Amino acid sequence: MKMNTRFSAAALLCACMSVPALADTVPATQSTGQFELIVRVVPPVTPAVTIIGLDDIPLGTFQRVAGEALENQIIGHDDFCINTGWTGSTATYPGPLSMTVYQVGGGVSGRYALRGRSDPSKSLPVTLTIVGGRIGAESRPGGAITTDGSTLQMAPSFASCTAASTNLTFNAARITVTPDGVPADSDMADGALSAIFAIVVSAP
Amino acid sequence: MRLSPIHPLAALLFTAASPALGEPQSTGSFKVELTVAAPSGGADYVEILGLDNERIDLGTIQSSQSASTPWAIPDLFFCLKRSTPGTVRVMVAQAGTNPNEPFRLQSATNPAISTNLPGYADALGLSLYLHSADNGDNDYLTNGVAFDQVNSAPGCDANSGLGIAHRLSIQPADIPAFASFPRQGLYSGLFTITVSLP
Repeated sequence: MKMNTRFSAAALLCACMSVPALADTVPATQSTGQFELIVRVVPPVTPAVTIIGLDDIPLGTFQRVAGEALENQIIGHDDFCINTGWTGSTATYPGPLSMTVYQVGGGVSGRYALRGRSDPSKSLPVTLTIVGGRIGAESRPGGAITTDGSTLQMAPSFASCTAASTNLTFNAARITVTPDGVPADSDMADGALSAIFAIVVSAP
Repeated sequence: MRLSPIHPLAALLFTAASPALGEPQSTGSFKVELTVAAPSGGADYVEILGLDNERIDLGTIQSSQSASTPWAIPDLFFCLKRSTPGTVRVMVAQAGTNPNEPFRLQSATNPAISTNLPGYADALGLSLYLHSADNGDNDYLTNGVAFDQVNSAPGCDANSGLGIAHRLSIQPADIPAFASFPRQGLYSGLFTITVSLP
């Protein structure tokens, strides 16, 4: 019985020593390995773009004071969404989007301007500042525009953006209207003034 | 490190035990002998480990109508081993291309080959870099052109990663704007890495 045990131990030892000889390749002066890469590319989707929650912007009434100028203190804004469809919570189309702002009937000398509703000789130039959500890690796109037909690059809003979204949440865009100042004792802007602007947002 | 084949020419010597007639213990001894033979390819040999005809599916990428689309390819790790100290000679070649042509993934449906990338051929351009385990050597690879590299760190095997194995980083060129250079469909490339003695 003891001899059998010793033979078994010897056989096991031989087996262990033989393991390296069972390697899967033969050492040589040259060796090769291969890999294949595959990827599928699909064309871009042309998104359906919709603007949600763009409302009128009332600027209120301001009382001129004799001898004092109005210095760009009349400001109004509105928040709105640019919807391009969603895949889950992510915009189907990541942007950028092209936004062009026209003044209906044209501006005054090429500038955006409020016009006298009853007196066409009255007008007040305005600056439109439009900023949107981020595209990736980039800063918010958009900017200030003054010339009729100006174009900005914008980002789509998040899926959670609704007409009630405010304060740039959910990548809502914000448009701010800032009229130029009125010189002291100038009646250039007296009366009711208004303008209608059309925003066209499109995917390239 | 590949172990040399060991020929277990062991002569096992042992002392036959005496009949156990009530002893409380028994002792024995044995001697082991072996002979180590040189590899069949000679004492100096090379080997690549961890790159066994892998097919790496990078999934689906949606290109952009107006802007280039960045994308990424994960790093590959493998061992470049040599049985003796010294460098190894490495060459990466893409099947179906000629030496010095750009690496790329070629369209399966429009296989026309051009060296002008990425604007003209229906292909996706690639740049390949081979990094040694310690990042001391970072070589830009030219298709079909051999160069010398240090071998992998000791202990490198098919499962080794950063710090031990060599790293192949593949940097794809952005997919061009679809409106200018439409790219769509399946793209692929088969690459062979050959390691040899310098």
